[in-house]
Amino acid sequence: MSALSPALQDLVCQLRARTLEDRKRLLHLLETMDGDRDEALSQMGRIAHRLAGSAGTFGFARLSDCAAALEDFLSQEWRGPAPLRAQVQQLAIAIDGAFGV
Amino acid sequence: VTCSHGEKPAYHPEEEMMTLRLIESAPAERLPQTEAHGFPILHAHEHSDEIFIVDDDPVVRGALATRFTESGFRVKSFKDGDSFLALARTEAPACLILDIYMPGRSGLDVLDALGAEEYGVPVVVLTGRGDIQTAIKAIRLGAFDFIEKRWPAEAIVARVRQDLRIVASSRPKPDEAGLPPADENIGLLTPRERDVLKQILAAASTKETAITLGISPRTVEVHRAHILAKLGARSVADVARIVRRAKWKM
Repeated sequence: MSALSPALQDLVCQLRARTLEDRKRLLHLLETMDGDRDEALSQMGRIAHRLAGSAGTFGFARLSDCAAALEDFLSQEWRGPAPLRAQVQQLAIAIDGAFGV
Repeated sequence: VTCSHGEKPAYHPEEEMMTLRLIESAPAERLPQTEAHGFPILHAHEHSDEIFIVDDDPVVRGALATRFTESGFRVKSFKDGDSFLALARTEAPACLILDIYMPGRSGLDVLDALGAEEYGVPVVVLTGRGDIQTAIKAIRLGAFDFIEKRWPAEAIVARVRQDLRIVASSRPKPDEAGLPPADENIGLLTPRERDVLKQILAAASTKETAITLGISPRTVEVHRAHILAKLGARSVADVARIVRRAKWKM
């Protein structure tokens, strides 16, 4: 593993703060998606896409994989709330693992 | 990293290298003779160490810029395609790294607006996971290579170094005088650039050239930059030597 420079450490902290907000947002969308499901799924997809790229760029491979898995899931045909909940919860666990929550 | 106590960011370039790569031909083989899409043809200078990064995500942009800087490159970052395109008219880096998925003008839109095949600078696009269709579109629009955006920054630096070596090895070899082949490069100049070249060789100043040709001094400077880039020259003195060696008749 390469040591991170102070500049990269600062960026990792920014990523952490943003990702924890994303985690909250994903869980909120999951709970409130009955109102406008398509919009909620679209927002989830954007969050997952951004997180897959940003986590991967910083070397958080497992977190990136989980975010990409959610993005893939959301790009497929709707399979009901239960599988979606499982995907989001997997991602939340990966976020906690990455950032020590 | 003091703000994290869980999964540590690790960089293992070999683990995530994609095996599929679409390099159909080196950019030097695709260099055009004319301007396209209203953009002047700029060629990456052989000795340039500057990287342009276009990505709307400030965290990713910052990480890439930091890693490239730490690896010895100079970096200019752009938050969107428009701000990059504004500079692309006058500056050519060694390599452009371009995110595909951006709000507003996408990376594909930027490639199209740029006329990437004519740009003369290798463009490496960052794509989503397994998004081969988009990668192929990017290659068809003139991109040189594509990388999954989920690669660690270190792996992206390594890949770009590799791409730059491929580009360098595809360039015409300098002759014994250490200058690039002259005849074919002079052939790349537009009629207006030849006009400006004549003024350069006559030691005319930018202002004098502008008055003589009836164009603005800024336009003269842009033409001068294009002439140097196309001839692979580092200075006006280089230009003079290259032209003399080519026995170019004014």
